[in-house]
Amino acid sequence: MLSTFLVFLPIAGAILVWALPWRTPRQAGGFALLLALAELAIWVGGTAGFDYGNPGLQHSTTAVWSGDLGIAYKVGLYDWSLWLVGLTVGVMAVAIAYGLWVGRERARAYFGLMLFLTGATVGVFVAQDLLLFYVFYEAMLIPLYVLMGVWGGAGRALATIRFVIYTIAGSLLMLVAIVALGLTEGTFDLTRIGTSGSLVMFLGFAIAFGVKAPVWPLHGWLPDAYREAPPEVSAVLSGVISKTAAYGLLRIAIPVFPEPVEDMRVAILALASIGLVYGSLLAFRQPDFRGVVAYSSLAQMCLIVIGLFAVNDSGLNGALLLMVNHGLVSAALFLIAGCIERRTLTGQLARLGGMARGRPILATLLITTGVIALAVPGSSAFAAEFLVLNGVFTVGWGWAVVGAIAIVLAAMYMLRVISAALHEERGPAVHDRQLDLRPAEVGLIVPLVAVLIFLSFWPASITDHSFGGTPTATVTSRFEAP
Amino acid sequence: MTAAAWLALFSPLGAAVALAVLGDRISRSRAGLLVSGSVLVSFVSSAYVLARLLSEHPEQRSHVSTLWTWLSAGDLQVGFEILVDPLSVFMMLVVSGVGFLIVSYATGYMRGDDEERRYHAYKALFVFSMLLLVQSGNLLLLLVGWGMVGLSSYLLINFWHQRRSAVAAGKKAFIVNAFGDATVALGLFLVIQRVGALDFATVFGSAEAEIGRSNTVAVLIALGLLGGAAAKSAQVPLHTWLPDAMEGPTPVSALIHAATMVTAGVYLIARTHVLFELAPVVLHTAAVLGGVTLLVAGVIALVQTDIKRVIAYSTMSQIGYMFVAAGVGAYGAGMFHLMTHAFFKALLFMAAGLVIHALAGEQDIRRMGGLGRELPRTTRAFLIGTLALAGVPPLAGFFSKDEILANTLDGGPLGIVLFVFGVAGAFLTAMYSFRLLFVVFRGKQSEHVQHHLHREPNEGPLSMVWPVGVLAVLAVVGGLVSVPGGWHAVDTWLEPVSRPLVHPAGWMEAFSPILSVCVALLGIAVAWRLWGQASDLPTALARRYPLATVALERKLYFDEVYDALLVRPAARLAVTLERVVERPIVAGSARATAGGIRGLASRVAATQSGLLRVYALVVAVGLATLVLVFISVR
Repeated sequence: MLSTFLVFLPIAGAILVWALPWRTPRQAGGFALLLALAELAIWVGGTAGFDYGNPGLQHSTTAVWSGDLGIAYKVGLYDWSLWLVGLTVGVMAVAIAYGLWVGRERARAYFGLMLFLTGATVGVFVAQDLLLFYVFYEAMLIPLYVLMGVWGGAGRALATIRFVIYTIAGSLLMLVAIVALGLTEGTFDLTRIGTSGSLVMFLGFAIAFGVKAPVWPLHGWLPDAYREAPPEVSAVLSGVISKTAAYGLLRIAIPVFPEPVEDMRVAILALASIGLVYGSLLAFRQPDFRGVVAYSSLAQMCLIVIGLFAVNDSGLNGALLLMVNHGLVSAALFLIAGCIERRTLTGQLARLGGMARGRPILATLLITTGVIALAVPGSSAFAAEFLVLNGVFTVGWGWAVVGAIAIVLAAMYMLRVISAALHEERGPAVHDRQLDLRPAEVGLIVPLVAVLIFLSFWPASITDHSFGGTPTATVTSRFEAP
Repeated sequence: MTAAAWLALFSPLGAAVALAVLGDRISRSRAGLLVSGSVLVSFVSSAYVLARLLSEHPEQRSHVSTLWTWLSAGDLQVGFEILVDPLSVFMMLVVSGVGFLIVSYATGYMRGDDEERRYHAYKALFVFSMLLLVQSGNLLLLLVGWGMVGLSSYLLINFWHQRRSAVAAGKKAFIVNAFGDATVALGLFLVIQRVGALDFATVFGSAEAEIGRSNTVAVLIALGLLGGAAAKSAQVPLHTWLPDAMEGPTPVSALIHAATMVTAGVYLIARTHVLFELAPVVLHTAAVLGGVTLLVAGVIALVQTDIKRVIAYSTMSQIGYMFVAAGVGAYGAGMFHLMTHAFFKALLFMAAGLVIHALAGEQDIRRMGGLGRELPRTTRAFLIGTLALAGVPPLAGFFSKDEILANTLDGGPLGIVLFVFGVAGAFLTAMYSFRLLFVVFRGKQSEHVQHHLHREPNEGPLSMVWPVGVLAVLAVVGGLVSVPGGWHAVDTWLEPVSRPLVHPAGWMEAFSPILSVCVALLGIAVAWRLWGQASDLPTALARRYPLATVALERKLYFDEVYDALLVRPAARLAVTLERVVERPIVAGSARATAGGIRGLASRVAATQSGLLRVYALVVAVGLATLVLVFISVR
């Protein structure tokens, strides 16, 4: 029941937010935040009773829709997808709180959409039926279109249309692949589906997820979307939504298509390596804060893909840890970008600078998040990237060398953005009157950073409690309980 | 015993966390006290651990303690574990002991700075990271400490972050060290692939069997480690960040960029000597890097005009000696020099700090001169540091440097070459160090000194003066733990961990000190002739050899070369990618967007003419066809 509850609590909440006659926008937002926090509390409760030594499905619910076609409502959690659900409900709660704090207009629509997005995204992570997965996947995208198109920045129209075109193209491709796979296998049940050797179906999934992640060169929608969406939506988009793509690769593409994965591995690793270096180099060139974070997200997603397609213990564990880690880091960075933009009315690095003076909290949080983002040894990101590169090292040492170079580049672009915002002389957009982070903002960002610091002290809290302790065996056996 | 070691490790971290949480709810002076107190706790705990180890049989002095599993992936399990053995305790004592003195000094030096608390918090973070580096029980945690000292070094170099030069210096230090971290990580991947674990006992125990000797893998592992060591210890060609790092406050230069962090490379080689010995060619490379660095840095130090930069080049040069020692397999000698260098170099930096303090921030030695009469105590401290650095007996530097030179003599043909390098370096060392002493403290006072010198009783606050005094004593007597022909306490102590590969004969131990003292005296004499008295010889020399002078003043063009070979090509590549690849991709999607809008418009138009169903049918048929294609195509 836990999985079903986690999906439908926020969706029911969304309906209430839309339907009930709230007196003030704050009430609607407050209710949404309360629900988001309740969702988070339920998830925390769920982690306590979880059986981490068991690689199989837990907390599952099944209701058959069509036995002939093998279509069912089937949801459940694995010990590793649990962490992605946690990332989702945590980041969504923070994003909703941010929306409440800045007082988004048309509150009912906004908060309803955010809650709906929460439920749909959790749905993607728990669905164990291909068609159900597709339904949630689409349900997740629709609120994003609206959130970006209505509450976004000045260039939101083009950014949204671009995002829609890319994702719809990807989704249709995935739908075709799903139907084809389901018909050939005779079932849409992910826990019972066999393996397939079809290269086209694999590519259908891989391209669909590659667009969503995004992986180079399918990232054309990314820079503008991350720049023009409201900061908290960018946080969700790069922190959580991009992880559904990595999840899809891990849950569907890699276990179901072992031979195509083997055949295409070099090509995919090559594209991801190119994207890693490419994203890092472009991040270094971006004129604005969010642009840097956007391209660094591209690089990080490519690194996750590299870990996944190493398909070994180290790579898989590293990729999972990096998913959680990047989700928290990029959410925190986009929210900090939002806090800076609210003060200076700009994200242009040339107009910023010297903000550390008199703003110790902003400086501390940005530096802490930034150095975790650049994977300073000792950070959770370092632990994750170490595992990813160690994993791909056994596939081919050259991939790890490219990854190591990209990590040096990451130091360059992250330090650039830290210094450009905080250090040197004050930029033209910075004034003494602009306050340090307010308690509410601190309350939003500190939890994200606190989890990152916790993970830095104990990255094994995730790696020791995922895949039943045997990542490769679990993934290649398609997550069946032994 | 391991509990005390854990206490030593976490005490400074606790102070850093407390300062971060308390913010300005703790007074500045208390913040300083908290941090120096926490480092004192580390020192006392380390001393306790030392005492306990002393009571054990030498072969049993090795204790591992694991608190939790830090990282795992399948069979690979990496614990948050420390190793207590002679080598780690030796480093703990140096780090926490010298660290305590410098942190105490800093409470006086930083008094009145707006962000004193932030400074102390970073300093505590550094001590924690450094202790983690030396106490770690496995290679990964060592790399964690390795990276975190780099991080705290970055934070402290650009501590005065309004200064553009400080920010640039911090970034440069971080990025060069990130390169070193990356090469170490690549080396570790190979170790994991071959050995399957990262803890020292397993790796060193099965290294020879699993990796083999002198093959490609052994060489690559050692090269990876050497890359990290050279970057952290500022050895040619990865040294360019260290002189710039002098932008940080002087106590930072003393602690991080002289006494502890920059010597970590030597510790790394001594710790992982088993891996290096599997690839002798890399070990020799380390020695050669050290030999080259000690000469290059010594020569550049001759012409630098910033008091701290001169000492920074001197640090590079002295670490070069340590690399020479480690490279020929004289690990004990290298560690011994690491210790004495920590004493006298910290002393020099802190005495320089007193000078800078007295001159209200001035660091250019051309604007100093004649300070000897004004600052007699500082002068004495500086003189002791200079004598120890130049290797004049019976000060600390004499014993440790000569132990290195004596050991190189036993190192075969390469050892002889390195011996010559080392003796030449001794000449240079004496020359540049006495140049600094003469130019700053002798001669006539510059106008700047006459206007800006502010005299204080005791030449500085008490908190700054007493640590200088203690270090001065250590710089005088610290070398006596190891005397040629007599006893070798450091060597003996470290023997169970890192057995040396060379064993100098009696004549070597007699020959090398005599030669090097003669050379050092010669260097002092030359310095006296050039800078000890009013003379236009230096300018005449500069005029006679303009090319050489400019080349040295430009630090042999290393920065320019990196700029031309790495920085600018990378920037050009990024610009090209943006223009040739990125814009077409994004613009391409814009064109698709335009097409999509047109499609949407026509769809709306079609609705009006009742063709919606046809359109939907077309899409459905299209998708269904695709499904069939997907199913049929293999």
